[in-house]
Amino acid sequence: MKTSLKDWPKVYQKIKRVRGLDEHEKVLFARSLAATPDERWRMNETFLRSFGLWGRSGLKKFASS
Amino acid sequence: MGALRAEKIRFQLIGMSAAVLQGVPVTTIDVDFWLDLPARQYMRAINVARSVGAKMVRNTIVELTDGTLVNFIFEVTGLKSFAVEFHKARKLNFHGQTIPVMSLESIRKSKTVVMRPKDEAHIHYIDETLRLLRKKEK
Repeated sequence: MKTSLKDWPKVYQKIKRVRGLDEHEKVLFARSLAATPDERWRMNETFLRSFGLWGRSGLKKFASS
Repeated sequence: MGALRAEKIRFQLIGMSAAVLQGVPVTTIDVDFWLDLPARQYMRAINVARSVGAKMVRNTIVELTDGTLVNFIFEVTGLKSFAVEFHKARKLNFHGQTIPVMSLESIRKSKTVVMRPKDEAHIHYIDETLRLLRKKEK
């Protein structure tokens, strides 16, 4: 099943009955599983950049936290 | 990646950056490349990175022009040879190229041997992703 980020509601439908995950985690996994590798990496980078945790300066902040 | 290929240095993406590309919902600040080179040749990799504008941060770490940190690795604990893992690697499209990416099963295997404090959490997310991937493909 080839998907991209916009298809996450379809993936959510497939995993919504799994045990051991709360609603938030199911959405998180559905988005991550639906996304393409490039979209997954973009989400990772965007998230870290939003906290200033990217690049060499990010490494220093990460190590000191 | 293109520069490594041009220099005929085989590589595969490993670690949590490889896990992220396969759908594990975690974040990681660097990209780990396992190179098919002996560790004593680390300067070959550094020079390839420098040729595309990267800055050397440590002996095996460079910062690309877009800020991405790349870590070059020459041996991976708990796994067989580069060639064995390279053969098992998934081929994924990333940044316009098809690259070898270590399987989640192999990443997990290495982490169970290393078992740093963070690895326990990573293994949990890898296991959940493998479980949910099976559901997704049903």
